[in-house]
Amino acid sequence: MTCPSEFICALYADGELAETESRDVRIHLESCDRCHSMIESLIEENRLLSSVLQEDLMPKVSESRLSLQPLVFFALGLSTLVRITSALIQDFSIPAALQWLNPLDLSGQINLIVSGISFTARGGLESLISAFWTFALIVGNAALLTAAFRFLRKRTGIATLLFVIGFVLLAARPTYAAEVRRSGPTITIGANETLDNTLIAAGESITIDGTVTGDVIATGRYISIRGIVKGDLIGFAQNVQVIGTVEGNVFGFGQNVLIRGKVLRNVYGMGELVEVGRDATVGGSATGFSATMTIDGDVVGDTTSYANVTNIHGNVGRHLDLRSGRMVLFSGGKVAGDFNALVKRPEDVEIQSGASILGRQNIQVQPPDVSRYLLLSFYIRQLLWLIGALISGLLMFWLLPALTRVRLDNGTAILRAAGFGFLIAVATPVAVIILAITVVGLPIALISIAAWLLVLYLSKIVIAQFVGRALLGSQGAVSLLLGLAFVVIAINVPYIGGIVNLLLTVLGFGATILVIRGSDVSGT
Amino acid sequence: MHTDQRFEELYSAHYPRILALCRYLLNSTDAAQDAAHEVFLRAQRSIHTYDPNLPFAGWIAGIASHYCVDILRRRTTESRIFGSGEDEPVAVGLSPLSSMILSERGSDVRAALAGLPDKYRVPLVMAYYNEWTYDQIAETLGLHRNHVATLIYRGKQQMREILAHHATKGVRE
Repeated sequence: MTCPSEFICALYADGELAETESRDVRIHLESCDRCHSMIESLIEENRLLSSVLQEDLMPKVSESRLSLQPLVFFALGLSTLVRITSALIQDFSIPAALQWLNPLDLSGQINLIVSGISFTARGGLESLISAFWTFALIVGNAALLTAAFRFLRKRTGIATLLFVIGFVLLAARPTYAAEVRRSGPTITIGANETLDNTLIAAGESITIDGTVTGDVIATGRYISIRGIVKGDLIGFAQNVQVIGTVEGNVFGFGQNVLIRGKVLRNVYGMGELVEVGRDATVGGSATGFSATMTIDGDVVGDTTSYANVTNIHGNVGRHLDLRSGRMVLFSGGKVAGDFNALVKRPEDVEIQSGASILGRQNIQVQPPDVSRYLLLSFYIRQLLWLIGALISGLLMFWLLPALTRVRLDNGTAILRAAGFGFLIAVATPVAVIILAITVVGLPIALISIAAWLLVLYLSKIVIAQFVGRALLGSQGAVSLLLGLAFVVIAINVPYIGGIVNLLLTVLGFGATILVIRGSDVSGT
Repeated sequence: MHTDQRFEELYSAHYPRILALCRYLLNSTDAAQDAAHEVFLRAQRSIHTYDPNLPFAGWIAGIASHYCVDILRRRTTESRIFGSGEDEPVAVGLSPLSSMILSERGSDVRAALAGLPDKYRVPLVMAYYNEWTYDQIAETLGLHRNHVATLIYRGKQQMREILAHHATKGVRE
């Protein structure tokens, strides 16, 4: 008998040959060593295949490939949290905040976030509760995100849904069970009306003649408080006006922030004009970041001005701090504490006769600007940024290898990335402000702005990676370092460095977003 | 009440096996978890059809296999995921894998299995995980016995190809 085919051997090994055929094979095997060993190994193969399949009855909980990345994401979340917390302790200063578009200066960006968070976190127990909730929110979400990544990595839809639900649940603070009003152009709380809640309102004009026992968070063209707000007033509007009483703090953003009535705690004003009117009283301190800051009434605490022009006709109960611009202390104006000023020239401070300062006067004239290129600290800072960016970059390209695919080798690709980058870079903050008006949107807004800042920071690294790869023709830590060095030098070229910085950021931003979105950046 | 308790015991005793079976058949851990739950729900509903003289493991493996094959059929637009039986080339292939490769690289073997198309993976799982005969497989899949034999033979050939490729790559590294 000739040797049976391999197929027949396989059937024999599986015990699936009919009895007669099986007998033929068995007889053949006695005389053919080759077929005998073939059948032996086939049977052995079957046996091992069975046992290998049985041995994996319990799926292993951790597969190293999958468990590491969520951990890194978690660590990143935690480090952000640590940064935010440490920045909370620092004083909030606006010159740094103006640098927010410059990712070289991380503290500027953090100050921006922190100033947002600290609106809710100023004062006593409330601040503790608020800080706790912020903490719980971030930690909770980091954990949730990790869990979602870990267990639902194939079901992104469900993961996202769970994430959002968890987010909203965590964000739903009992004290923030606010009343949201958005209907109609005008929103009015009538004179006899008492709103036993926090009011969140958006409309053309918002007028409060009655009483709101919680906070008022409002945005619109005109915000006018003629009644009583027992909590804080946070207003974004062309005109934010307090004629009545705000028992908490006032955070006003707008063209004009006008205090004509009583504010029992602090006033923070940002805008063209921040004014404490003649009959107005501010129980705490007044801080202005504006073109003009005018104090005609009484400020019981400190007054701090970052304004271009500061006019004091009224009384400052404690110290007066002038941080920039010019100041006139008019006749009749009074400062009960010290007067500190940091100005460019001595003649920027004018104290009229008839004005009084009871404490010490300390007027510092800022030395003329030393070229920053002569300072050692400048180079140390650039070096630190370089190291930080290198580490962040290596981490980023490890987590998101897709970003190394960024290609900007023709005009179309560059224009596309730049246009897209500019659009998103500008649109995100606008969208965030709109989102932030609603309670549900607020945490999403915070996360969005955090993501936005992160991408803004990373965008130059993406560009640096591209530059390094173009120069060396290879990819890796060395080419990234070279690219980063080029970027650092380019954005610090005198006079045009700022524009280069902006362009690179926008370009990198667009390229990053396009890659993350899964779109091809090659422009082909 | 008594049956419920009994079913609980059966569930905890057989769930891991059924989960693994569903995972092999469906090639997805997530889908397998859903499927395994569904299989036990179905088993509970039709427990009256179970003959206590036969092993429960075999009965529930039958339900699971049918259910998973249904899922696979729904996943694809092809009317016959297992082919017609005539288009299967019977390759003159590699010799059986050495016992060393199989025993030392269990995870590679499972990965190779997962890499096979449904039509080869499903019969292989039934033959070597369920340890069913060709007839049982043919009945479950609604195929002719010879067709099943070809699929199993061809599937094993493909696994050998994948694993041999792995092995040479491993040697080169």
